[in-house]
Amino acid sequence: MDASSKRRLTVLIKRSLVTVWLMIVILPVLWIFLMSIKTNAQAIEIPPPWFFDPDWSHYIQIFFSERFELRPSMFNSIVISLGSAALSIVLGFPAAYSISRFGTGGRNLAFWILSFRMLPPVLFMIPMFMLYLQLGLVDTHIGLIIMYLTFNIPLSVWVLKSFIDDLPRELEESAMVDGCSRFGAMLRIAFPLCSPGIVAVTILCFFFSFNEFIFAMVFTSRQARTMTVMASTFVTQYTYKWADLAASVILMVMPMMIFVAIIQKELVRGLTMGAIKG
Amino acid sequence: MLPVVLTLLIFTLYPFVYQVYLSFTHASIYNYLNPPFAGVDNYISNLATEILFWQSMGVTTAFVIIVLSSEFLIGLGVALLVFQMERGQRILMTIFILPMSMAPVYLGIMGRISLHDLVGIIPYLQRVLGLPILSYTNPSQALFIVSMFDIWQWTPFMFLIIFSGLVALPTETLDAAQVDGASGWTALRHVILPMLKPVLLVGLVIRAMDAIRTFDIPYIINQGGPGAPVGATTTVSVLIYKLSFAYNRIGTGAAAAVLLLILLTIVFSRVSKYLIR
Repeated sequence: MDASSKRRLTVLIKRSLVTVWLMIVILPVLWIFLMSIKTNAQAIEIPPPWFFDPDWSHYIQIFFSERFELRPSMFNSIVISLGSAALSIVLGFPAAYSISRFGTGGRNLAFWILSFRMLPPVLFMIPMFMLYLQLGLVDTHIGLIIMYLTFNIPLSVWVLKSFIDDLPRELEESAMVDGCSRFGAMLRIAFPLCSPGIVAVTILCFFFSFNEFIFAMVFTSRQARTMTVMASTFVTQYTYKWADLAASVILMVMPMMIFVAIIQKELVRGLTMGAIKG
Repeated sequence: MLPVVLTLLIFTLYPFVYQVYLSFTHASIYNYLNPPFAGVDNYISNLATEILFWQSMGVTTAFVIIVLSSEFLIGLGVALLVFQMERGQRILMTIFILPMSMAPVYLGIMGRISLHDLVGIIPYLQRVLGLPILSYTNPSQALFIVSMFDIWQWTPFMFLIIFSGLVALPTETLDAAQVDGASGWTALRHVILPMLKPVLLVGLVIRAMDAIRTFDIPYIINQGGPGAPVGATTTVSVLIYKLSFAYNRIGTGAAAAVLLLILLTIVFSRVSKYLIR
């Protein structure tokens, strides 16, 4: 075998390995999607049909059904995730700024904030549940918004800090020479310059809150029940309506897939808490 | 600065003290305001008599080892392959990161559908390809199945950060290695991997901490698996949840949580230096 055909063979093997992984990623999702546009009867046919007349009615049924309660829980999820994302920016930006610029609290404070992201939520769930019972915060939007700050604040502080670290100090310093206060310099100079970071962090906080399950399951029951909790009840209730179940999964997964594709560039920084700039 | 510290303080000091207190009581949902004192009973049942904590830590450790090694190797392999491609990198990136965007709950539901005998893709492929049938009701396969879903979801994370690390490598060094006649494997072992080391460590640390606290997928797929209270897929998070909210043994759950906190604090203080620089 000569060198060029050997090279071509290597390229072919490499391509096919990537294709195998591509199949592993795509096939399960494609399968569920195809199932969602079959009729419930077609969904259990063996062998499964790959070509058929698509039936989109499940999506409409799921979305408008009173029994599925998709819309109220979607509304709850959106309100809670937006609230928590906004609060973590408002609280997180000044903290990130002071850690970045003055080294406030040193390594210990940084370590402590980061540990929230790393420790399992079940660790503080029991006492928080007791506290919430006594405060009447169980099953309220505000209760869950506060709960979600436990993982959103470390995220926003650390990722925003890595963005502020990248900004030149001179801009704020010259603003201060021109009579701007430190706080003014932070708000008028650093904040707008960080806007790509702020957008990314907001989306990431929204993303993690929207997908969160264990807190939502424990801390809500009816009024503030989020989409993930409602979805978890689907499996047991609707196992015989395969197409409906599949449509609901696709419907719930789609928005986040689009979001993640949008912030692809900032994803590395966000997921590694600013440790890798991406 | 102050608001953040205050918020987080509310979430540490109070729960921590209360948690330690609960772990020494026979608390349940009926008497949580005034629970009877239990001494070290809860710690004994976690560590000695029922060995709940050690059993679930065994499950967790096995899970962490399986997913971390698979995700690392597949992620590294795919990243290197995609890095060498001349075209199509962007579109492959976008597709490869899709699994990450899925909430573990929805992945769990997808998993239940995918594994179902009648309609699932996995039994279908097994029949078509003639592979042995997997079932999550079989204790020896349950953990493997749960790991499979975690690997499907989080290999993209390893891929993504390794790939971005590769892109950030200085091209001169790679070219120099090639000019010096280093073959693919030698370049990988002696040039690329050492230079990627910080990135790989960050990825492994984050994945390890997330894998230790895995809850959603084992819970949705089979509620921690057959066998009570510690089943084949009862990770330590599932155990604490089950003890506190399903078995109504809040004290025992709190004791397990305190033990886990001690263990993780030790682990975390060792590995956090890779994240804080």
